[in-house]
Amino acid sequence: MLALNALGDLSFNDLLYEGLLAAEKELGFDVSYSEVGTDISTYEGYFFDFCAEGYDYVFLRSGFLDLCKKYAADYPDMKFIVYDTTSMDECEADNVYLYATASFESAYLIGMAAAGTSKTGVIGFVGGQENPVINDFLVGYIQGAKAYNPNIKVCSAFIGNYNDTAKALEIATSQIKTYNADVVFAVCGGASLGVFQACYDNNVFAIGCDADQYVVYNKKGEAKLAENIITSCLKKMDSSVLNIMTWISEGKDIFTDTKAVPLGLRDGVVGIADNENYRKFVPEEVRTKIAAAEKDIINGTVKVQTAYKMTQSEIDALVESVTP
Amino acid sequence: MSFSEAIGTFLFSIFRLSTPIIYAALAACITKQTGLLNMAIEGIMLTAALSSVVFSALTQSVVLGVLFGMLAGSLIGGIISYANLIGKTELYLTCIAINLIATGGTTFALYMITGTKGTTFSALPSLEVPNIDIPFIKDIPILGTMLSGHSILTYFAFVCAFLVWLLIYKTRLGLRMRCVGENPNAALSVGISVTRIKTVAYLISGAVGGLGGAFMSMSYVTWFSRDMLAGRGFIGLSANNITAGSPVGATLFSMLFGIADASANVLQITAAGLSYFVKMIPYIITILGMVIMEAIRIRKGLKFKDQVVRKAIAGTANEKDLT
Repeated sequence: MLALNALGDLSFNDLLYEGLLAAEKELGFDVSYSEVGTDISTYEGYFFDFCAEGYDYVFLRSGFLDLCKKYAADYPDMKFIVYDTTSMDECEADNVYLYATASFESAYLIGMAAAGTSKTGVIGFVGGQENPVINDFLVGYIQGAKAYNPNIKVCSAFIGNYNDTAKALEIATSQIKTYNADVVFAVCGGASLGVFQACYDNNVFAIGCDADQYVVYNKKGEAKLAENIITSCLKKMDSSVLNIMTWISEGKDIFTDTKAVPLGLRDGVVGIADNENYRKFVPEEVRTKIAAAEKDIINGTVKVQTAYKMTQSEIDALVESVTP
Repeated sequence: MSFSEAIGTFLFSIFRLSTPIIYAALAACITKQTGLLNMAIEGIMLTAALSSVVFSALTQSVVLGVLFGMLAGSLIGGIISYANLIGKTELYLTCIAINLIATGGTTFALYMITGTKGTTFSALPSLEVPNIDIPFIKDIPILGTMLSGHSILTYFAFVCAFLVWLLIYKTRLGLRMRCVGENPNAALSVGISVTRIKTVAYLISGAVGGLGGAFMSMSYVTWFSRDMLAGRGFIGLSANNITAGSPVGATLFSMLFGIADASANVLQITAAGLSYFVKMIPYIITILGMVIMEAIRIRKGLKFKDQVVRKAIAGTANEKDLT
């Protein structure tokens, strides 16, 4: 069973669903899914429904974490996998697996790409809501950008939700026009469309998130907008679902960890989208450096900080250090 | 980019941000004059935004797209007035219900029409309301960047404010609307159908709100996405509330919200903490303004009563003198 927000976002949730289908096809699991929305107050009902229906494995949104802490131990025959938690979360029950995505690692590479492609020395960041998951992207992005160009300036702003495309457009436009940003990173779900439109209108580069937005928009026949999307910060929910199910079918006991397990570049669940636009617009030299940094992060020579382990004032200080 | 150009773009964004709020405020203003609070503007605008995208894609005509947006707004206005005036439902509950229906209903309609639940982008070939460059003015630094190149609907928002003013203060219908708003019983006693006037007000209000919806989906951006209004209708409503139904005041106050929004967008980048404060300002002014307006009104009322009492005393005094 996979519980997700709602299908049709062309990124996060659709990717989860693809992972589920892959698990069915490649590993032979019987699968089903449920759209539970974002209203946490309804989750308790869903949780007990899933328990009553007696699934072996249940993938849950991070909003279910508290319910798992309370009730998971009462259902020893079932295994719960909570996805997209922060890496600081933990759960004592021995049938719960928490999994955090190390978005800061891929965002670091994206920051390098943005700083390397920018001609004005100013890059933008448009986030959805100001929360730990989005901050993790921002923190990685700034660190990467600074690593490439210590004098880089980063404009960062948040919309306050994931739907308001008009506000996304407005914020991106002000970053481009007022602050001269010429690469804008959109981490705002469905509202990213507004950022892409602003980048297209002003002919600057955009960077997408979760799925490879260049491929997604091209598939939809919108080559016009896709043209300005130079790469995307991949968060491959499909491979993470498949990976976890593969481990389970191989008999690996992943449920003994009480702490959340961060999966990152090493596990191949995050990354930087490499497509023809990336090779066309991001200079060769930058791409080589990014590939080297990717290796260094994996073997541990480059340490990137995650927002989950930073205090708010540390994050603020980092953001301020690059404010134009 | 030069400094003057940066200032110009900032001022430009104020107008763009204010436009949907102005339409919402004007729509609220019309019903306010008849004594009704139109809390459903958010839902009206959301429905209109979807409707104009769908019909502009179907008919491939910008004008028809906008018109269908207005019609959809009027339709919702009609539904509210029918439920409220004929069905005698509680107005606020009806409006809240309409807003909730609009949120779910537009997403449902979106899914039925396009098969996606997110946006009509690339699924529907909808059109855009053209932008206009004003000759001569566009070459003036700052002023040109600020005033030229807006959507027709942005310019029309200001025309609309004038038209609403004209409607309320210079026409028979407007007089009747104000009369119904001030004292429905008095209006009834001189043979004005209160129900009819209120219904007409709701229909016009819906159409004006519809223009705002059409601006959102055919001009601001060129697609419909779920929940795209994101509270702009409610902000317009509060802009109207503080000015107590004055179209000019509502427009100016909507601009203030636009200014705060634009400043917050820019400030968020350099001073994140300050941007939240700036966003708060219009709401603080709303509350303060409402208190002040109410105080003025009460004092005016007292003065009026005072005069009546004095006249009455004077009258009796005269009577005494006569006898």
